[in-house]
Amino acid sequence: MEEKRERSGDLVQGTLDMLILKVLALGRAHGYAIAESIHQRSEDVLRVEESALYPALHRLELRGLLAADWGISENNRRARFYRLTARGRKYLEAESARWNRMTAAIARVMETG
Amino acid sequence: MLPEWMTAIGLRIRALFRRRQLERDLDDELEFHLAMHQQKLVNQGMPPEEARYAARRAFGNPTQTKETSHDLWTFRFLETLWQDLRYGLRQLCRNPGFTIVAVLTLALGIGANAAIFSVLYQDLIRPLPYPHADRLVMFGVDVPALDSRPFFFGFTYLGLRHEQTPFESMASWRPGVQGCDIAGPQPQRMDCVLAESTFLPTFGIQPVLGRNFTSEEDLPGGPPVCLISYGMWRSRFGGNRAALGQLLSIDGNPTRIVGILPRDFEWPTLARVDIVLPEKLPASANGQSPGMALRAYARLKPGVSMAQAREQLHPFLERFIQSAPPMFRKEIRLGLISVREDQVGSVRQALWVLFGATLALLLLATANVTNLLLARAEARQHELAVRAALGASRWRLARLRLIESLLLGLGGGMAGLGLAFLFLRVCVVLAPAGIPRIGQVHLGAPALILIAVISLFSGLLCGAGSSLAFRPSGLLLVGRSTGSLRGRLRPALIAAQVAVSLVLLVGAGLLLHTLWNIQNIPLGMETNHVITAEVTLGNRFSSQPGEAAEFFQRLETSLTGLPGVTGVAVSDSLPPSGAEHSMPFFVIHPEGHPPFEKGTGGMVAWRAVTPGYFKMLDIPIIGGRGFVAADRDPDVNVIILSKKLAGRLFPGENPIGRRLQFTPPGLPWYDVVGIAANVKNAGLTREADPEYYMIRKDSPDLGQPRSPDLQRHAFFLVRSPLAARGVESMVRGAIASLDPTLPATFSTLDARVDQLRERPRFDAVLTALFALLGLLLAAIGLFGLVSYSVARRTHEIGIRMALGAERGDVVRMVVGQGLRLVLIGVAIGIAGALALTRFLSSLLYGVTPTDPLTFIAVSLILIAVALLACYIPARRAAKVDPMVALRYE
Repeated sequence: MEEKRERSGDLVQGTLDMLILKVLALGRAHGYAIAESIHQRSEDVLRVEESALYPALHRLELRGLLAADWGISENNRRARFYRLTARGRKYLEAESARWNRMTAAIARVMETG
Repeated sequence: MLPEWMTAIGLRIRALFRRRQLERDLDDELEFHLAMHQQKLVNQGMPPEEARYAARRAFGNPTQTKETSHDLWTFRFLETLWQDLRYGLRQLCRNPGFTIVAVLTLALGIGANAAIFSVLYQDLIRPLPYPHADRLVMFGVDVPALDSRPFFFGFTYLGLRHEQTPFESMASWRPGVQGCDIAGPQPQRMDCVLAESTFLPTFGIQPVLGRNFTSEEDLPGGPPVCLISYGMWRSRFGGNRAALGQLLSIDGNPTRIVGILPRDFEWPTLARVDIVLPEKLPASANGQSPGMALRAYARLKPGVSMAQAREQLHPFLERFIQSAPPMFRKEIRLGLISVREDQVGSVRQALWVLFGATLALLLLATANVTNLLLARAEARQHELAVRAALGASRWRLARLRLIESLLLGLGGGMAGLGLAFLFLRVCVVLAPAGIPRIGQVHLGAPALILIAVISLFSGLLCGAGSSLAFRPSGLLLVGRSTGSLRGRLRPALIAAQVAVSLVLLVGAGLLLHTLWNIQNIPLGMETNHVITAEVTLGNRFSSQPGEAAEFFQRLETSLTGLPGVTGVAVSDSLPPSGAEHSMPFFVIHPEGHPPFEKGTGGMVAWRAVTPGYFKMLDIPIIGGRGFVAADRDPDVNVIILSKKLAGRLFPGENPIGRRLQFTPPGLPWYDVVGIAANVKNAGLTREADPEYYMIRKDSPDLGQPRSPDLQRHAFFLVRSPLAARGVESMVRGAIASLDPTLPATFSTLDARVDQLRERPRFDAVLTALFALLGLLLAAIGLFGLVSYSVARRTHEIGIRMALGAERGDVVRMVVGQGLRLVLIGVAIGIAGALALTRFLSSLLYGVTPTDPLTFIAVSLILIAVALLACYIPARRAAKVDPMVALRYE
């Protein structure tokens, strides 16, 4: 039950998952880089809270959508790198399609107002 | 690709084995994040120290994040379960008194259950060792006057072979497994049985080696062949295949072994069988020969029910009835019962009753433990409230207590296993012969499964009961308990316990009453100080006429000369079990009377005895005289009638000096010389049959040419004031000095009679044991509740006493409260017992299932015990010092 609870990070969990997957579609990255990447690409609108990010990463890993291994970061520190699995890629495609349909639909509703 | 949930479980299991690694990785990962953030802030120009704090602030609560992730990676449920389990164990160990009482209470219920279930399983549930055993039946005609079990006359059975029956196959055998002598280098007495060649196929049994005998071998004059048991094959032939085809001298007849029976072979009557010989029935019933009595088994055609089979056999029954003597006709029924029913018979009811009693005992035990747990929950209310305040969910708290009670249940199960062994010993000691196969009963897998199931179940029940009834208030204001448990559950439990206990006690009371009645049935004879030796001569004696009679006479003389022996008598059978010899009443023909109409009068028992018989058993001769030595002369024909028979044959006349004859005519006339008092001769609980006595003559056929078995089989009765064991060894020695190979079975007449009481004793003693344990549990429960309520009301009682209540008032108040519950329980219990005791009726003798005396006596006993259980805590309450009580708290 707890896992479904909306975190204070302003992002619904499913959306956060999708964003993480999207970032990782561009290549492997560690948790910090993922958070930064989302932050920057949203032009500082979205801020991913760490307390939401790491549980989300682990959850995705347990679902087999991500794989993780330890590597050396750009500043020579030991870091955990995540990458997309085949299943994750498929899931991302489905989710993006659904998201696009949804936003388009919402946009249409809003426009008619 | 694996489904998602399996990937997750796989990853989690991998994490389970690298827990420390997992912890470190989580730490490292978050640490790295913080370091990166700090680096970024430093790069933006923040001083390193400040950057570190800023990064931490931005992160929020790392511990919580870590825990969330940790929980994702592990089986959180199992982890807390493990915690709770250890916590529960610690709690139980901390209160050893409570734990021991609770575990023992449950063990009592579980152990009794498992023991009785084992007996029940062995006799009623265990699959019979035949394929599709549910289609196997025993059938025949049921004529209670002639036999207690269904039987056939040879010609009736042969006739049925050619008819349409509901059976796939049928098989007959000669009733009675007989001793037979194997000659050779190691002579042995084995148990032989004569069965039709269709016997093995009907039961679906294959010999492990060799073959069944053929239908040709099963005809009169066919080649002599036999099947031997697996046990005999192992012991006599060392399990050698060469045993097949060997000749075995059975009662002097060389007989070829054609097959070995399987190891788990079981004769359907459960009798021990070593050798199966062909029955050799003629192919058809030609002539009017009434034929020997047979028993028959059959396999129903697939899909045919017992009711349908009955229907289809109806024409056969009709024809049989028409052929029977008119007076028997009304009594004839079709006998069709399952093989299991034939094996188990009346034991079924007794075992189910006992199993019910142990279930009731288990309920009582569970109720007691629930009560204990409730009391403890209240004592621990403070602790529970603290835990709730610290964030434990209600579910978690309930689970904690459930785990504790499950642990209690498991402990009870383990201790119950030990008790089950004990109870089973009691069963075996009580009824070595009264319950089929009791010797083979053991705590097998089914009983162990039952123990596991009921210990979990009872644990769960106690835990659920106490958890549901008790809700911690969630507040810490619990110095003085205000929990809702005072509610209704505990008193209701006590009333229910009293009710269940009463039902048990009534059952036990009725069965004990029955046992008492059976113990005190007047037998019409004296059984003290009489040793019995049952002797069956081997087949070699029959080759020379008169040899057997001579042997018996020599043995009689030799026993009479033993020191300390005050009397010796010989008979062919002994009361009070059913007589081995009986004949229809109408064949007796008193002189001067027209012959009785055929088929009238039922059966008459008879025995051939020596003159000492009446004195030996102290059977009074109420008219005329007893037998004297001179009567043994082959040319003297005298007879003694029982009072009952004399009254039937010579109503209103003096029978002494009259003569009688047996049909067919041509046999000698017998002079009636005496009338003996009636003796129980058809079992303990059935009414005595009329009876007459002949004398064992000094002639080769003992004066009984028509009963050749008399010449091989006899009971020797020896009266001596000495200890039975000493006399027995003297008698054994006397027999051995005449023939060292002759097997003899020793007993005392007391023990033989007592054997007939085994069954009622088994029923009564076990039920009484369970009822007493149940009463004890109910009393303990009541005692606990009253003590508890007194302890809680100390303050109130103090006030009452300060305001002038006398000690007697306090005792009355406390006892009165307990008694109210007891009376409610008794009322419910009486209603329950009235509804249930009719299931006992087939087990009762001389007492009705609703015997008011038993009901009243049992209720009074229960109330007395309950009063005692209330009085002890009440007295303690009355000793309360008002000053102390008021200062208290």
